[in-house]
Amino acid sequence: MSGVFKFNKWLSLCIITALIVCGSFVVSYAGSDCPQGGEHDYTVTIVKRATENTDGVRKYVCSKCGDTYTEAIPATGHKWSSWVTDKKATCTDKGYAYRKCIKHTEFTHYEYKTLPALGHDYQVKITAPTSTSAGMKVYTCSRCGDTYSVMFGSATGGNSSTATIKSVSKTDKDNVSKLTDDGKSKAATSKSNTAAATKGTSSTTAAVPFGAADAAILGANGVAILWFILLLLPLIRVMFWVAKKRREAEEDQ
Amino acid sequence: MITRRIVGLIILAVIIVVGITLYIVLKNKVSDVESDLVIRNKGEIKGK
Repeated sequence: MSGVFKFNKWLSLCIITALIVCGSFVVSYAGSDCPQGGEHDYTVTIVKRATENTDGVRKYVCSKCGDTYTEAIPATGHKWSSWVTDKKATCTDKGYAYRKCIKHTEFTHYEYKTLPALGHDYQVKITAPTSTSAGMKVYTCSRCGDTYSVMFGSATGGNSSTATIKSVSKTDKDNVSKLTDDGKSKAATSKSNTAAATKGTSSTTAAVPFGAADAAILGANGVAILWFILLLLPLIRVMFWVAKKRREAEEDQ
Repeated sequence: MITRRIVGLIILAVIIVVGITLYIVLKNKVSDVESDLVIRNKGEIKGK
């Protein structure tokens, strides 16, 4: 019995010893892969600095055996500030905004963007046509105050389906920029068109073409004149003959 | 109605009224003259 106990004791000691020896060899082998012995003694150099957009390169050189390898440095990316409006967009003009990268203050760089024109936000005010004046729609932009008016209907108050645009007038202060941006001549013709519109109602009635009714009235006038000339002419000749005879009778006496 | 058509109708009415009035006046005068005339033979007329 004591012999078995001694054998187990020695076996345990051998296993423990073998584990310690193997462990120490493994650790020493793993930590010393330099051919010159021991661990590599790398010197790190930055070949290319990483930026916000591009990767960099890091190079490792072993001072003992000269072993080298490179490693990519990931791009740092931007850290943008909030957008700052440089120029506000208006109804007709574009605006501009920028933001600044605050990650690296030594490399000041910006990102820009264009703010599209907002377009007019017209509110319409309608004046209904009456028997003496045409109707009018006044369009006013709620942002910039741009205004133009459109006349419709007729002064006689009749047919609204034949409504025509009589005038376009503008009173905004940025007429020049409008003309250069979209090329429309709406603003430029405002005053002349307004003047023409005031005359438009009266010129509408004068523009009725010469029709069959007019021809019938004119023909009736001509026929009446011709008829009475033919009817009255003999009577007039008789009156002249009578007057002549009376003069001859007076001369004979 | 169009103004020119109204004017044309007014002119037509004036022509008819004036024509009828002149016809009546002249017809009465001619009738008066005819009532004074004496019907004679052609040989009795002086110079014929």
